[in-house]
This record gives sequence, C-alpha cells and structure tokens, in this order.
Amino acid sequence: MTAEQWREIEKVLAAAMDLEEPERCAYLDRACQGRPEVRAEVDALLAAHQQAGDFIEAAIASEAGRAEPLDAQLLSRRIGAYKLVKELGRGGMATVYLGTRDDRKFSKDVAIKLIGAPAPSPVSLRRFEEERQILATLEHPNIARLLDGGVTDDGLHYIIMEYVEGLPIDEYCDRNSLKLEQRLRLFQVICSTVYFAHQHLVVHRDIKPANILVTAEGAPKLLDFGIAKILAPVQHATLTQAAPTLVPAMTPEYASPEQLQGGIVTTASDVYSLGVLLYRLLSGAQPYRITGATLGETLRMVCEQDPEKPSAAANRPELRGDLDAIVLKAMRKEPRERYSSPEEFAGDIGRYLSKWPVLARRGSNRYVLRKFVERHRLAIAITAVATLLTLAGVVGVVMESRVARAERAKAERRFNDVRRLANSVIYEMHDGIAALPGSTPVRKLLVTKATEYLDSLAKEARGDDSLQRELADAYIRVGDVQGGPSFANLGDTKGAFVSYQKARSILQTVVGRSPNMKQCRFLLADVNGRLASAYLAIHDLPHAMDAVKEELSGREEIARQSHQDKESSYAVAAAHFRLAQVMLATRKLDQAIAEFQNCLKMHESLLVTPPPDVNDQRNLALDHKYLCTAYEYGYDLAKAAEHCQLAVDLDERRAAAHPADQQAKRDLGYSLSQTGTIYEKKGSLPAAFQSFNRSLSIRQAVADGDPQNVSARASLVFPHLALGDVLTDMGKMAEAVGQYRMAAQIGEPLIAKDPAKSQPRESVARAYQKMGDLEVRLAKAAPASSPKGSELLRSACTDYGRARDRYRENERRNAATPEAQKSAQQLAHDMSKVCGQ
Amino acid sequence: MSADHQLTRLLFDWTNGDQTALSRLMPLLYAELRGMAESYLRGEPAGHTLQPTALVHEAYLRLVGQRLPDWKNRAHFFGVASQLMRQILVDRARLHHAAKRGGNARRVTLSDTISFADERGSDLLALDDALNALAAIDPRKCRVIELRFFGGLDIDETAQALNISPATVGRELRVAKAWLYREMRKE
Repeated sequence: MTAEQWREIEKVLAAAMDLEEPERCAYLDRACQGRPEVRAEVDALLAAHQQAGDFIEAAIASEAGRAEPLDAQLLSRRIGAYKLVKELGRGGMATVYLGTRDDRKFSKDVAIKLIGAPAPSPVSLRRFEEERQILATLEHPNIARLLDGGVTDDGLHYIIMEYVEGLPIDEYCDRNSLKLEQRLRLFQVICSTVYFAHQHLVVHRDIKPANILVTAEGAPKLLDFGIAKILAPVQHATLTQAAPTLVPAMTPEYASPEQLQGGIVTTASDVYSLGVLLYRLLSGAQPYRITGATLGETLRMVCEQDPEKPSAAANRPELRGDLDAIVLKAMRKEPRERYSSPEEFAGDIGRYLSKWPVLARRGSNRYVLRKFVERHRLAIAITAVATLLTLAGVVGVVMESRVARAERAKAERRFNDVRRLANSVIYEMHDGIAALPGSTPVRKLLVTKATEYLDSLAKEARGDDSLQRELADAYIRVGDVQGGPSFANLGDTKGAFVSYQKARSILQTVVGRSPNMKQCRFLLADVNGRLASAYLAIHDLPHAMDAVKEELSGREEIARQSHQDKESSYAVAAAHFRLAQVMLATRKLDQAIAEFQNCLKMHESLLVTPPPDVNDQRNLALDHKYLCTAYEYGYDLAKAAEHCQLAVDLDERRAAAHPADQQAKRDLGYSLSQTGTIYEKKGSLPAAFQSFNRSLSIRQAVADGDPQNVSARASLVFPHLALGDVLTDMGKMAEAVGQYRMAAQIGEPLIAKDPAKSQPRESVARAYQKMGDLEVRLAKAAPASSPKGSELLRSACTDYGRARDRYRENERRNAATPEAQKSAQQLAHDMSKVCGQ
Repeated sequence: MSADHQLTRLLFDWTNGDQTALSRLMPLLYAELRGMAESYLRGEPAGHTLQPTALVHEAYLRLVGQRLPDWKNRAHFFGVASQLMRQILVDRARLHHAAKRGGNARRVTLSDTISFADERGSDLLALDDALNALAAIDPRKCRVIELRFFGGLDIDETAQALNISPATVGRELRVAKAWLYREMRKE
C-alpha cells in the first residue's frame, strides 16, 4: 500500500467510523462506488476496528512482565455472576478469593482464583480456554469442580471453583490421629481420583497437602486440577543456567526430578508427588530437607540422592519392608521406574493391606544396577531419555487410539500431544542443552528421535503445511547437529547434506503449494544458506554458489514483502556475506572485498545505536577477519594487518566481557591465528609465534571442555602447522618437526571420522610434506653419508609418500584447493629428486 | 558531572535549540530508562508488572520535574522517551526470544562464526513490525500510538505534543488501531 492509496482509504474509513448502521453502509456504497478495492480494504479495517480491543496494551504487557498488581479495589467487584467477598489465600502467581453468588434467592459460595499471569495474548487466551474446557469435564465426587473461567475486562485470568471447607490432608490425619490403615485407605481414594483425571488426559502437576482438603465428613477433595499448567503454560527447559529458576507454580518439596529440571511433566510426575505425599503421611517427615536449601542443592538432592527410607526417617519399624518399598518405588528418579499409574500405586497398597506380596519389591537387582548407571550419567541425559520414553509411550497411544473410530477426537488430541512433545524436545530441550559443553551426542540422540516421531506423523498428514514445516525445521536441526558447519557438530557432513536436502525438498513442495507460508519461505532460504555453507566447507564451490544465490533471491523476496524491515534486511545482508565468502573461495577478490565492505558498513551502523548487540559486535569482527583474508590473498599485507588487528581487538573485548561464552573464545582463537599469519608473512616471527601460541592455548581449552566436538578438535591443527612454519623460519627445526607431528596426529582421526571433508586431509598432507622437507634439510646438515643422514632421508620419503597420498585423495574427490595443487606439484618435484620417484 | 546532571543539561540545551544535544541525549536517556526498567523488575516480587508508561513518567519527574521546574518541553520529552521506551521493550523482547529460541524465534546463521537474529516470536515484536510499516505510510499515526501507549500521555497531552486537536488524536487512534490490528494478523 502506498501513502497515497492509504490516504484515500483512511478518508473513507474515518468517516465511516463516525457513522452507525445503516447510514454507514449507505455511505460506503456511495463513497466507494467504482472502487471495490477501497471498499474491501475499508470493510476489513472496520472489522478489525470491531475486534481490536486492547491488543496494544496486551502486546506491551506481554513483554513488560507479569500481571497487574492486584489491589484492594478488587474486593467487592464482580467476576461473572459472583462477588468477591474475602481473600482466602495467596500463592506465587495467584490469589484465591471467596466468592458468592447473590443474584438470585439462593447464595452459593465459590472459590475464585485470580491469576497474575501475563496479560492474555490471543494465543495464551486460546490455550487457557482449551485447558478450561478440558478441566470442566472432570466430574468426580473427590474433585473440586471447575465452574467457570475466563478473562476479566481488565485482562486478569480467573478460575471459579467449587468452594471446599476442610483441612489439608496432612493436618487432617495428624489432628484426628488416624491409624496407619486409615491413612492408607484415605490415600487410596486420592490415588483413584488422580487416576480418574489421568484417564481424562488431565495431569494434576501440583499434588501436595494444601491441594487435598478433607471435609468434616472425611471425604478428600482435590483442588486445582491442572491449574498448574494454566499458571505455567510454557515450561522452559531450565538446564542452561547454572542456577535455574523454579517454575513458580510448582512446590519443590513435592515436585519430581523431571519437573525441577524443566522436563516434560507427565502422569508419572503425579505418581512421584503422590509418593512424596504418602511419605509425609506415613512418616510425618519430608523425604528431603529442602526448606532453606538453595535451588541448586534442591536439584541435587531430588535428582541425585536417594531419600531415607520412611521407616528410618520416622523411626517406625512397622513401615519397614513393604511400605518403604512402595513409597520409594513411587519416588524413583526415572519416571518409568515408578508405578505406571496411580491405580497401580493404589493396587500395591491394597496388596499390602491384604498381605499379598507387593510389586514394589520385585526385580530389585535390576533396580540397583540401574541406579548405579544412573548415578554416573549427566542429569541432562536422564531428563532427555525420560522424555523420549514418554514420547514413545504417547506414540503408542496414538496408534492404539486410532483403532477405534469412536476414539477419534481423543486420537486427534493425542496426535497434537505428540506433535507438541516432539517440538518441545526439538526446540526447548535441544536449545536448552546446546550451549552446554559435552552435550553434542545427547543433542543428536534427542533430535533424531524426535524427528523419527515427527516423520511418522507427517506421513499421515502430507497436506498439513504447518506440520510439514515443523518437519523441515526438525531436519534442519538434525543437519546442524550432524555436521552443520556453523555448529558444534558430530562431523557427519554427509548426513548433514541428506538432512538439509530433505528439508529443502519438503519446503519447496509447501512453498509451491502455499506461496503465502512466509515461515516456509524463510526456512527455505535458511536451509539454502546452510547448504551453501556446507558446500563451501567441502569446497564444492559451484554448488555453494548455486545455493547462496537461491538463498539471496529468497531473502530479498522476503525483505520486499516485509517492507524491508530491520530483521529481513539483516538476513539479506547475511546472504550477501555468504556470497562474499563463496567469491573469496573462488578467488574473485575484488568482488568479495566490495561485498565484505558493504557488510562492514552495515554492522558499524548497527552498533551506533545502543545497546551494543553481541551478535553485531561479532559480525563486525567477522567482516574484518574476512577482509583481512581477502587482502592477504591479494598480497596487501598492510591492509590485511590493519583489519586483523581490529578483529583481535573486538574479539578480545567480547571474550573479556563474556567469560562463559565459548563462541567468543572460538572467535578470539581464530582472529589470533589469522593475525599470526599476517605477522609471519610480514616477517615478524616472534610476534607471529606469540599469536599462534596464544591461539593454540585458547583453542585447546575449548576442545578440552567438549571432547566430542569435532570442530573444536579440528581447530587445533592449524596453529600447530603455523607454529611449525614459524619455528622453521626461526631455524628451530627439531621443534618445528614436533609441531607438524602434532598437527598430523590430531588431523588423522578427523579424516577417518569424516572422509568427505577435504580440509583436514589437506592440512595433514601439508604437515607430512613439511616434515619431509625438514628431514631433508636435517639430512643435508648431517655429516656426508653418515647413517643418521640416510635414516633421515628414508623417513623424509615416507612422510612425502603420506603427503602425496592425501593430496591425491582430495584431487580424486575434486576437492583440491589451488594451494594444495601447487604444493602437490612441488612435492612431486622434491620426491623425484630426493627419493628417485 | 553525573549522568543525571548531564542528562538534565542536554535536555536544557536541546530545548534552547541545540539540535546536537538530542543525539547525545538519546543514548543517555535510553540507558536511564532501561536501568530503571531493570531495577524495577529486579526489585519486584512476581505478580507485578513493569508499566512502561509509569516508568516514563517517573523518569520525567526525576530528570526534569525536580530540576527544571519551568521547563516548557514536557511534550518533547515524552516524544523522545516514548520512542525509547518502545525500543527498550523491543530489545527486551528480542533478547528474551533469542534466549528462548522457542516458538518462532530462529536464527539465520552464516558461516562458522556469524549469526543474525531473525524472525519474530512475540506480540510485541509483531506490533513493532506493524508500527514500522505504519510509519512508512503514515508517520503521524505511529507517533500517536507511541505517545499514547509507550509514553503514557492522555489524549489531551498527545494532542498538545503533536500540535493537533484532541478530536484528531481520537480519530487517529481509532484508525491506527484498526490498521495495526489488521496488519498484525496478516500472514
């Protein structure tokens, strides 16, 4: 829409807004006569005007934080048909009021929960509504009914529940001095109530004494079923931070390990909480001394320590044996080790009461073994595996449910559950652990498994664009973990190509079918970019060029349609950057330099406005690095040194400001190496030595921190080679040979691991060639025809031979760089002279 | 000179026609507002919200009200501050969504070292996009929205700040809201 078109539309729109029907319609007919496009636009805007509401406030509040403060004015106001009478209690995110309905003769008391959740976005509103409807179907004598729920005019979520008068279950048992058997029978009722909810696909999520009231008649009533989910609709993986924050809706004493770790909450989590509840009811104690503990300590206790047996905690010998075993089985760390349902849990208590052998004491050897294995695993891996198992379980349920037609609605819901779960694994959990050193294999397992599930779902919904998009996205992530050149990867370049290409073909289909899927076009550009980088990494320049051009045209198209906003312009610039990289690799230096200079200008301009963005700082340094390389290739060492030094300065500052940032360290390692190269070419050998040495130690630290990370390992080869070169020039030949040997030693396993990659092979070839060269020189320096001299010549020929084989292998794969070809020629010449071949 | 005083000084210079003062003022005011927002969020228990408009008013009182009692350019201040408040919230949203990277937030990654934040994932970011698009065809409506919702000015104050009638402000608001609402729901 142009400004002129808009002025015309606006004129009509503003006038129409001031009119009521039927005048409005008549006016529009008149004003838009012969201009149907104006009429359509005005109609759409009038409809938007009707629907708009407080979406701007909501959007701002969604970012600005939590809820509006609840103040005293709330009292005496109305929520639906009810009046707030008094405050009953306050929790982390909600306040509960006593409400009364007094619009008719009879009055009825209810509990009204006002929730300090973020002001509702359309999405959260819909989710809230969905949840509420599910909860409203839970009709059970021991569950406090959910009567109503919604959003007040001023944007507060509310839930209206049956008001229950009673005591929390622990208090009730203690005050009435209930006997062991009475406690167990009461607890069985609670189990079967929770099981009833599970059958209706509702997980309680927050079972604790405060949520189980026992009435004067002795009937237990469960409150707040599923409310925790509404309170914390999105549970983020909290694994990234050293001190993760608790989801406030949760009660740590009763929360399962997976809940505390931000994993996915399932029915097994309720079984765990029930176990803690029984522990409390039988022993009067808590399994862990959480009060006063920090979150980190809590996590360690709940996730790693075995609780004391209830019998020992309470010093009550009558609990020993079966009851200890039953409680502890419910409280296992691994969800699948617990009772499979609250019903099974209640059943085992029944067996105890009627003196049958209990399930809890079977197969305990296996359990002990498992505990041993578990103790030695990363806590993350536990969560991850548990999640996958849950996922597998749900997939099974979907398949089963599909059998019965009558179950269709349920099957659909579960289909969506699986989809959500798989997405949660891919987005939240994967991203949650991506930054952790040593996490690479777990990431791969997570993502491939989740993709398998999505894959099977996608087969059943080929026409579902958004599912196909999720699938493509999943493949991209799998590709990243396998061998994405920009990520800590597992070195499986071939696998990465397959995954990226799968994603590309899915996206091409969807975009062809639904050109308006903006996200898909975005992803398509994205995967083209990754392919370009991956081709570049294996030096397949024609394919890299094709991919980057396709990416660029996609990004330009997106930017056009997004009014050239900042983000999409970024993305265009990013594609230009990649294009420049490919040009550099094909040695089109002038074009590459011009492209990089443009990127540099853009990033500099972005950094003018505060606050400085880490990504922008990094990108700026990167521009300098590539310019340095381009000038170096063009033999303009003065300019190269200038850009390299700027890059080192920027990286130093960033690494110092963010000491935990591994990427900053990697970047600094790179810029130091690069600067060393320039110093070396300029002949400043001590400075070069220092730069390479510093680069090596920084990279060594990064690689040691993440032993599975192939890229980190590979980054050590270069500084070793470079140090070899510098030492050679300084005349320290024996030391130089040592550096080359290190380079070859590190490089060989990398070649074996990923034979498609040409870079490590070329580096190792170089190392052998240089070793050969030095051995020849040392042989010449040795006394004529001495045994030492001929021995050196023999090993020189061995090393030359190794170098030749590796150069040839890259040539065979069409992956020999111009430098490598030159070196190979030199090598052939030297070999024929020295070794007579 | 303390940052606060420097800010006050720049505000003063700016009012007296020194246009270069504005460019030095913006980053300082940005930092000030952001600092206030952060300390507010740190100090408050859960269940409270950061009210951007209240912050802008508080900043005004602190930086201007007590020091330059006769200062005539309240409207100017709110004009700048509301823009900055919008920027702060958008930056927060970006950070948040970049950190979370769930939902729609994705990154375009370039080489082994480059990456750009990309694609939106929040209502506020969607609103920000829509406001940018609106500004391209009708800048005044964008300013009205900023003053009203990010600066917390009422209709009369907004009218004063833009030198238009309150009735016009009302109309601009209605039209702008309809336009933004529609724009935010377009794919």
